[in-house]
Amino acid sequence: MAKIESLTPEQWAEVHQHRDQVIERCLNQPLDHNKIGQSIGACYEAVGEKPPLAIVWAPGPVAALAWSAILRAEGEKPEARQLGDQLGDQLWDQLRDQLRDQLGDQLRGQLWDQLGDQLWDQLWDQLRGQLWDQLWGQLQDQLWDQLGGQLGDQLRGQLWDQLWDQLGDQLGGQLGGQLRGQLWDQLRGQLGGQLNGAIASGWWLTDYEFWLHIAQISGITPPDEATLSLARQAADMLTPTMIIPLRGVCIAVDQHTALHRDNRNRLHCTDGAAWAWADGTQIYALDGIRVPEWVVRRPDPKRIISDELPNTEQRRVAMAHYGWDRAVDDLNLKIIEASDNPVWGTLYALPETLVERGQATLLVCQNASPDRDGTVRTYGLLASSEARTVVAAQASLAQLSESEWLTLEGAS
Amino acid sequence: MITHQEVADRTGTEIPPHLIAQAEVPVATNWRQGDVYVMKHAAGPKGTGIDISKGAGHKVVAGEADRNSHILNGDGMFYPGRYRSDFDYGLLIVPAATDENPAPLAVLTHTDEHGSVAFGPGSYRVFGQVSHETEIRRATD
Repeated sequence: MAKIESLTPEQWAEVHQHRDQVIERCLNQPLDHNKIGQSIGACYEAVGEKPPLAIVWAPGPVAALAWSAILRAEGEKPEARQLGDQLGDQLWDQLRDQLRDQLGDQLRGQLWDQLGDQLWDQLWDQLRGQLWDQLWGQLQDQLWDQLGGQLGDQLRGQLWDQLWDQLGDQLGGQLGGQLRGQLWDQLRGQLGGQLNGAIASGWWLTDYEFWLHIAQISGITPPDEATLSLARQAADMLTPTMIIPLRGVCIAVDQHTALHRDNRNRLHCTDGAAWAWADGTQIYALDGIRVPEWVVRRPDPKRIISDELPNTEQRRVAMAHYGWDRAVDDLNLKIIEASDNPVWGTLYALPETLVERGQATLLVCQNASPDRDGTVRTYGLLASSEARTVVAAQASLAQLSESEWLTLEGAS
Repeated sequence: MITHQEVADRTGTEIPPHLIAQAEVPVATNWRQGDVYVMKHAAGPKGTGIDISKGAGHKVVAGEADRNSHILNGDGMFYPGRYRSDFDYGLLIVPAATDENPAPLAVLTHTDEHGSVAFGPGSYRVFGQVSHETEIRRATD
């Protein structure tokens, strides 16, 4: 059988459309609870489990993890099995492994020999790679990191009470109230462990969507209908940012309340949380770098250069958000050299708390052309640490020698 | 010097209205437009070139939704690749004058705040500004 070696422009347009539709479904549209619920049930049955008695929609990732811990603890107690005798075991590993066994081998086995190597590479890059980058690399990986480090903090205080009450409401008040006081210490120990798998939906999803699109390319002999149908159900099940499949109950995280990204799809918001849910889970980020809330809402250059921010990437984006030109005045940065030409700029030494030792100098310059509103933008650039003159700093930004840089006739 | 109107007429591009006041576009051999440098560079082209005279030209740096993009228009070819540094976008080659085109020019325009600049016959390295962070990386607006 001849392999398909290339796609037509129309077929590539369909690839891009599929990619965009998946991103739209996962990130921008209200989640279809019924469809996802049916898919979860089908996937449970496919791995030999009864469909969950309830699909619980958590208002955010922290709530989902807390509820999961509550339900698992509840399920371990003989006197507290109001939801049946099978509640609470984690099914994530079982679902992942058995679905992979049932689907992965069949999809790959049927489709692999039908496309040329170069086309696989192109499809991998244009479909799976971009989905992976947007859903996992830029978003879920950040959520994973944040929750891994801050779960205890996120659950303190009122949030705990609120989440407990909400779960009780969803399950018809069937939770044993006596558990509440006993669970806190136990939960804190379990929460981190539950992260494993729960947020990997983007990783899985991209895999299934990749194979599903290839199976529908014109000229391809697709796998059997049952395989395709299960793959579709698995992809739909994984649409939420996070699901926690337990025996008897599946917890799924409902759609976020806010998601802001920059033009490179990185989490980015300069006036609020970049990613937020109704349970109070919030991620603040600038240029894809997670930062504490105060960096966005109450930026303070003295705090930025202190040890409060643990790494230079955070300090750099935080200071860029605050404004290098403002920081220069607020921090009384030491001038190394000032040019008479504001486009060439003024060179400052940077405190070692702001950048790694000897890493860079700061060149504050003006744009050579005005913005649309007529103002001239001032901005800061991190130049070579070895620069002791404005020209040397400018040359380091262009990776030129000073004499080469001086041959520039102008800037605009 | 040529005028922005001439650039618009020759390349079919729209010049941002706030830059129209700068009626003249410099013709240069070494220039910086925002965080993009264009400098005379003796080198032969690599790979397949892009004809910058076609359509709306070639976006050397493509910003989101056509914002903050640096675009080459006019006469010549652009050959993406590395010619001296890892931060090169490619090589611009503006052809020599002919009877049909006695004054060939390539023009680098910008969709937002940066004024245009034109380049006469010759070869030019087009490259980006860097930022000295934990590692040297391409600067981003």
